[in-house]
Amino acid sequence: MVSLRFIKVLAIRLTVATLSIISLAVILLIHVSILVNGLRIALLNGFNLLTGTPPLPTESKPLGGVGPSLVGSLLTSGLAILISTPVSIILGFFLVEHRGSKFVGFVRAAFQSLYGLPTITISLIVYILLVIPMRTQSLLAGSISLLIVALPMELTYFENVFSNIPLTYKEAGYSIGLDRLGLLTRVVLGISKSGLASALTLTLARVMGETAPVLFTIGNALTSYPTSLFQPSSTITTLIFMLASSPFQVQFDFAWGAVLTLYLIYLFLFTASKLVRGVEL
Amino acid sequence: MYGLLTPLLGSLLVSTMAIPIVLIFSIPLVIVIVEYARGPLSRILDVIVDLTAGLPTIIFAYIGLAFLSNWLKYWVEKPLNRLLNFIPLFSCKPLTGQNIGTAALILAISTVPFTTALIREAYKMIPHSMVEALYSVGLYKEEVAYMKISMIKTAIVSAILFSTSRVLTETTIVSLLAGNQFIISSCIFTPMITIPSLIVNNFGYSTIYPLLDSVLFTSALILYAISLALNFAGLYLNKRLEVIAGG
Repeated sequence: MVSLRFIKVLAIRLTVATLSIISLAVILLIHVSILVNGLRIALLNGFNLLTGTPPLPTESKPLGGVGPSLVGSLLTSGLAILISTPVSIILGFFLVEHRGSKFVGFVRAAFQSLYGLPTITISLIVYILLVIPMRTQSLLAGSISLLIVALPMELTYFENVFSNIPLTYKEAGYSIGLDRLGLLTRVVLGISKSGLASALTLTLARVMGETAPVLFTIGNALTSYPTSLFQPSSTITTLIFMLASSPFQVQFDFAWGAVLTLYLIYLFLFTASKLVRGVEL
Repeated sequence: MYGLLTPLLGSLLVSTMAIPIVLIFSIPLVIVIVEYARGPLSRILDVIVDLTAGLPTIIFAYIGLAFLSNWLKYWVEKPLNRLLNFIPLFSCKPLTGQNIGTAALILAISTVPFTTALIREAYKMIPHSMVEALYSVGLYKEEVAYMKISMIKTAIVSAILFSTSRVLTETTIVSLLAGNQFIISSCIFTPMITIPSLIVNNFGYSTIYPLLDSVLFTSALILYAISLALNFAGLYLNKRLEVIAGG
């Protein structure tokens, strides 16, 4: 005699199994389709994929490369991270050290509200505040947009890392006569090195994958390498966006190559952040 | 005169469709990762979920446009239209793959790993002693999982809030897949427009139409207010649980 309870358990088991298999299958489908279709374009182009310019609509085969956008992506995200990292380290340390004070609560709330800023709104804001006064869309405007994305994210990660440091280490630092700055540079940074590095790579991975913040600010110049910070450029994400909206099949197909490049960069940064985490205390 | 009713309704429709789908698929995934999978398999699934959760959304948008929207049209939308024609939601024929239903489905696909990761963190934080107590009264694994899910209800609500904010403000997927027509319809297979895709698609014309600027900025303000409210509510719930949301 099978009890009602057992039938219920069996029903739950079956539902959970079916639904999770479907979602895992979809997740795997995403990864496999990127690799298969991307490799098709990558093999067709060879090394040229990393250095060439995207194909024109008149070409018959998806031949070309993502060179200018790759450089643009690296420059904008690199610059954004370069600015946001020191700011986040100092601010994060400050937030943890003065925990409980009203002012710190206000600063944290301000940055959390920045975290909730929709990415497309960032694009609008930077367009009004920077692109219009400069009279041109530029690499600099793009990286400022990315900075607004990176800052609250990195700050949250760093604050977490700093608050995980045992109090005894800090007390030991103060007891030998270090001031706040000394404590930060000589004790805290040393202990939290790997945590910070992991958070930094994760932020970089997220920032590099952002499309909307740079859409109006970077200018989407797809075919020329950036020569100065004040010129229009493009990132891989906006390149994919432009190619995906293209009515020409050649350009649309070629976007798989750009997708693969972005995917591999993301995969590399993700793995790096996991590996770095592995050596933590 | 411009109005924002159509994109507002579009945004609302997209999130009310996507979030239930996300929940239906992510909670079972959490249970499988934590309860059924063991050792290396569990760790591999963990990494795959984390990896997919952070995948740039433009990739989902492009895959959706390249083949997923057509698959969904043939294997999900057309059968739904044929079988459930009498329900107004499915009453019109999906003409192209680009409609509000497809956009919601692809948004759901891109959000499932993110929500799974959020819920998983809370699920793993349930103390061992409680789990052992549940097993010690002789419950099946499924019953224990059910109890554990009901224990972390607050965390699930906060995960819903974060996911809704992510779905609402997601730009690339909707602007490439929602079809972008100013139509109000009760059928989910019609192309519609949402607030982010309104901004993306019309920003280029804002120099031609003098009043368009103010409309776009008003819509950005509305989007910001909604997203801010959702995020702070989520953070507040999380603080009560002391769950650290990853990502």
